[in-house]
Amino acid sequence: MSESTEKKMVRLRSSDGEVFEVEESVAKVAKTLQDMLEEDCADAVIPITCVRAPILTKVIDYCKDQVMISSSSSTTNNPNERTEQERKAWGQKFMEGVDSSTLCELLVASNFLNIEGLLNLGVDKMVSMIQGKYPQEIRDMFNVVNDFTPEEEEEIRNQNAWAFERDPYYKKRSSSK
Amino acid sequence: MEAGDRFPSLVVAMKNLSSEKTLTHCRSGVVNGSHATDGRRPIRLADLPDHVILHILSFLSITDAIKFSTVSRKFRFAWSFISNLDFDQRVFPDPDNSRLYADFVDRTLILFAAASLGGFRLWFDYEQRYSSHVDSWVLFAVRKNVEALHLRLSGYRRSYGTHVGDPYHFPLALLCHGRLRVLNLCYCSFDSKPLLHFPHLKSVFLDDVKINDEAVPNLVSGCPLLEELSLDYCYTIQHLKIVSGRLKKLELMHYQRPNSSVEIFAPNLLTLSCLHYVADKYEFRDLGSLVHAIVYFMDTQELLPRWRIVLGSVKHAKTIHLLNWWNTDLAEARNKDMIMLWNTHCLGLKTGNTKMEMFGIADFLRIAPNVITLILDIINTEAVNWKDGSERAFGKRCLEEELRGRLRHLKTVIVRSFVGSENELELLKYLLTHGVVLEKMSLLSAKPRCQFASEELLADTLKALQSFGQSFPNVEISLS
Repeated sequence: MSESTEKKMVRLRSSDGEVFEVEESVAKVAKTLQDMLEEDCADAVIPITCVRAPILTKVIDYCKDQVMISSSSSTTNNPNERTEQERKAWGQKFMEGVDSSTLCELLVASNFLNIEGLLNLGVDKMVSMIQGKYPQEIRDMFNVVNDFTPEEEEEIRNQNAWAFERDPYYKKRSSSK
Repeated sequence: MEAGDRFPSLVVAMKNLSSEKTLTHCRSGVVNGSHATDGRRPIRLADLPDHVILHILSFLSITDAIKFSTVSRKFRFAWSFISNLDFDQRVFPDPDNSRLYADFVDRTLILFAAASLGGFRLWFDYEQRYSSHVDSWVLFAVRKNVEALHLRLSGYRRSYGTHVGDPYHFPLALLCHGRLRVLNLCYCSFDSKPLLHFPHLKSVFLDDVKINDEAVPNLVSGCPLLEELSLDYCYTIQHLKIVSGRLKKLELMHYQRPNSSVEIFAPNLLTLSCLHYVADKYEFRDLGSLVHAIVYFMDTQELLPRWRIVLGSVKHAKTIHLLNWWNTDLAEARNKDMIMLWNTHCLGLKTGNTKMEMFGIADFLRIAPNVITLILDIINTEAVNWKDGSERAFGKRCLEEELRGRLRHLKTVIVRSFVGSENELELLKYLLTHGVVLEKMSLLSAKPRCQFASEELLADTLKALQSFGQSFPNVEISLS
């Protein structure tokens, strides 16, 4: 623990009990934690009860990167500085391979910890997954149970006929009409 | 279904949305992520806080947002609370049926429940018989205190000037009562009246908008906050006059008309774009604050004098972007009495990658001797090209000689849409050799890869460049 004398460390406990030790600057990327640390109301270990360890790992990766970028941004010629394009590419790479359930967890985590940048990355990813999809495809993707009664569904379909017109899931029904 | 049957569920949905101000306000003590998250049950789509869902939906077109809302009961009316409405006929399942689309917009607006609107965007294949529909949509948006209004009424399959009938007559006076900050109109017209006042309007974009000469001056004088103005394909204006002490960004694009004139007086203008805006007379006064200038003219005998006038008016800008189309016959005329760009620190060139154009780059570096950053936007012209007389014209010129001693300040070279052709490589080599203070060279490859930018060629190029670059350890070369 020789490092902790130089840099203040913060300990975070995930919902499944794993404890992460990170530099204070990294934790402070999360506005929720920043407020707590500044108001000095953080215990020795901060329990983060809605975020599981694998997700928290990912969140910490993101925060570390943000610290890396901002730490040297004061100098005029920052090698870590990114152009808009590079930032976009980095974000895409960061979210690559994130599946639908991890994405939901990441969104909840970044909303809860109040990390705007990460929330926006998640929202972008979500938008790209939903765009152009039919309701049943979205249900399949996110394991959502269709909780409409058949009557309600009929009504929705009548109201929004345009949305279902070319939906392969409903083709059979409309052609049998 | 009767409307009455719908509204009870709508009211319930509204209650749900307003009562669930989840998570974010938890500030001190033990951090508790309230619902559904005890670490055992996995988080699902339905566990996302409502404002996150609304945030996601506000990036979707309204058709996608409504489709999403039919996924489950929880999301049923989520779409009606989003802050941005984006109607895009192109993604409508039946894009050719304008009648059906207009009905859909009508119906959606009836159900829309949010108290205010951030943005209202409409892409609609307009015909005159829909004018009262569009009127009611605009009125709806203004009443919801819309901040950004974007009407694109040009049919997506029609090209400019092929419209039948009149453009949509935009009720400009309505905006006096709203909170509109951004106005973006395409294929409209509006009456010009003096003394109309738009207290919040900051940015105005007019594309293919039919207005008379008085419209722009009236609009500018009625918008005390106007900072950004863009005119594209506004052919009906003959004499354009803009006087504004507040304007920061001005774009003049795609225009050509005989006996026309442009008169700009904008002492606080930071950015001026003049893209293929061909008038007979230009008068730019008091552009002392100008920092960025973009001047694109095609390289023809007829346009050369205009190019000179415009470039001469913006020559003190720190960043200048120019078009480097090279016409051999004009090389001499162009290089005679060149305007020197002493102040330019960042020079951007939209350029082809033929040998001629490499010489063009050298010519520009000669007139802009203090360039620190050079940005090249490459358009692949090699395929459509020549190999004929131009060799003759440049036979006596040597690219390396022309660059020698001219790159005293060049620190950064950025090449966008890099293809990796022989000519590009040659130029980069010379830039490396003679750029005495060069620090960084970033090459962004052409995407999607055009047929000339095969992976192998690019790999070879990079290899060649890197082996060459080894003799320049101070230069960081990156390819992405």
